[in-house]
Amino acid sequence: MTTGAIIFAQNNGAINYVKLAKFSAKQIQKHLRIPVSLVTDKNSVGEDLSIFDSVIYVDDYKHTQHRKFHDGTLASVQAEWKNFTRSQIYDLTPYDRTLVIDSDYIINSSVLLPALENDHLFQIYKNSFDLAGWRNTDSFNRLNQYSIPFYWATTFIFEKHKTTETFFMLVSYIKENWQYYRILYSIDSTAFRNDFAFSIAIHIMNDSDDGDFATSLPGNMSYVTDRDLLVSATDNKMQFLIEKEGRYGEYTLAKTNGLDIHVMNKTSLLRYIEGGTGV
Amino acid sequence: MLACLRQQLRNPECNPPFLKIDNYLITSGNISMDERLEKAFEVANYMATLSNQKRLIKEELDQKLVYYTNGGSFKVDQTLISFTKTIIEFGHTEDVVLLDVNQLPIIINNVPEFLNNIVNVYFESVNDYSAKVTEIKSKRKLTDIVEL
Repeated sequence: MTTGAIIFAQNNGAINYVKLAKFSAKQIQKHLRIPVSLVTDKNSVGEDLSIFDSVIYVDDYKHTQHRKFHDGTLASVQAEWKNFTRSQIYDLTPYDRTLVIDSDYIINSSVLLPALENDHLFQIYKNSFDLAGWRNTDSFNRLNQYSIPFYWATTFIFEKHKTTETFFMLVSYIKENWQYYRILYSIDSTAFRNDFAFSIAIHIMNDSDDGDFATSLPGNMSYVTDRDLLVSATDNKMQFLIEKEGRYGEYTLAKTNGLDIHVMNKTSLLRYIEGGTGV
Repeated sequence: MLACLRQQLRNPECNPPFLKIDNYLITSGNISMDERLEKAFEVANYMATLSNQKRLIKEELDQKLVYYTNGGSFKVDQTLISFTKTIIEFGHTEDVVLLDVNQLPIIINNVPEFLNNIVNVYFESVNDYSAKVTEIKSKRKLTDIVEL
């Protein structure tokens, strides 16, 4: 059985996702020691991609959508949000067992290794940990207060199997009929979001109950939002400026040691990769 | 202090040694109120950073307090250690089924070895946590708490 990681990276006008993916791939190779492949599009060529085990090209999706990407509390940019290809992962992956991660998910530990070695068909994060202790995290517990549990499509592991094939077909179906499903599940946002589609698909796979289709990945998914800034990173340590409660434009310094982190501020992460500091 | 302030407002000659009014700037000794406020904000900032850093270290501990075996994952805590010891005391030392964090049944082939491993995980993690907490508590500067 082959095991490997897949990173999705499709550049838009504001963010070079491929550069983020290369950094993320180095961290995976260092801590998990598995081959890493890249899923990208023709707009994202021009980089040295030799770090990847293989490069898989996908076509642009028929629809486009835009969203605001914050860079700390004071700056933001409106850019295209290319997140439609995730549901194709079952057909795209060259591996039997695949770790799928976002290009802004930075591996700093080997905590996911046991999850790559067990026999669960589909593992995903349900619980998360915000590095800022004060922010309201209700939207990361359930899709809304009356709705179903929230799962993070940022990081998951799956094994090729009839059951997981059905799951990804279901995610594709939800994507194709997004406006119907978002109203059915009382989701305010019109933009398609993989976290929501995965949560809905898991709910359906569990027969609308607390089933066991999705097993939890080890620990919690730690994250900083795009209102926070990455300052620096060394080995498996990272230093952040976390937005302060009620003090617009002010931050608290924080350090992590050996925690895998979802750095949602891609602009800051990119600044760090290109220039050694994310501020 | 307020009584002295009221007295001083009525009689400018009154000038308590610890408080005086000087062009609307309240001072105590040689430190102005602005400087004292600045110091207070510095302390508050230090306390907030220290408090958040303790949260992060605790999260790092929680991540380490997980033991994986036979495809199952177990949260290592005092309850699991005590329960495992009790099972052994009752004579169940081989092929015992335990429920993992996902409530999945996991067969533990060698229970004493399992106990030994979880105790090792527990003390390695907690000792590391203790060292980290002691270290950041000894830091008196904000930048020292979060230096890489």
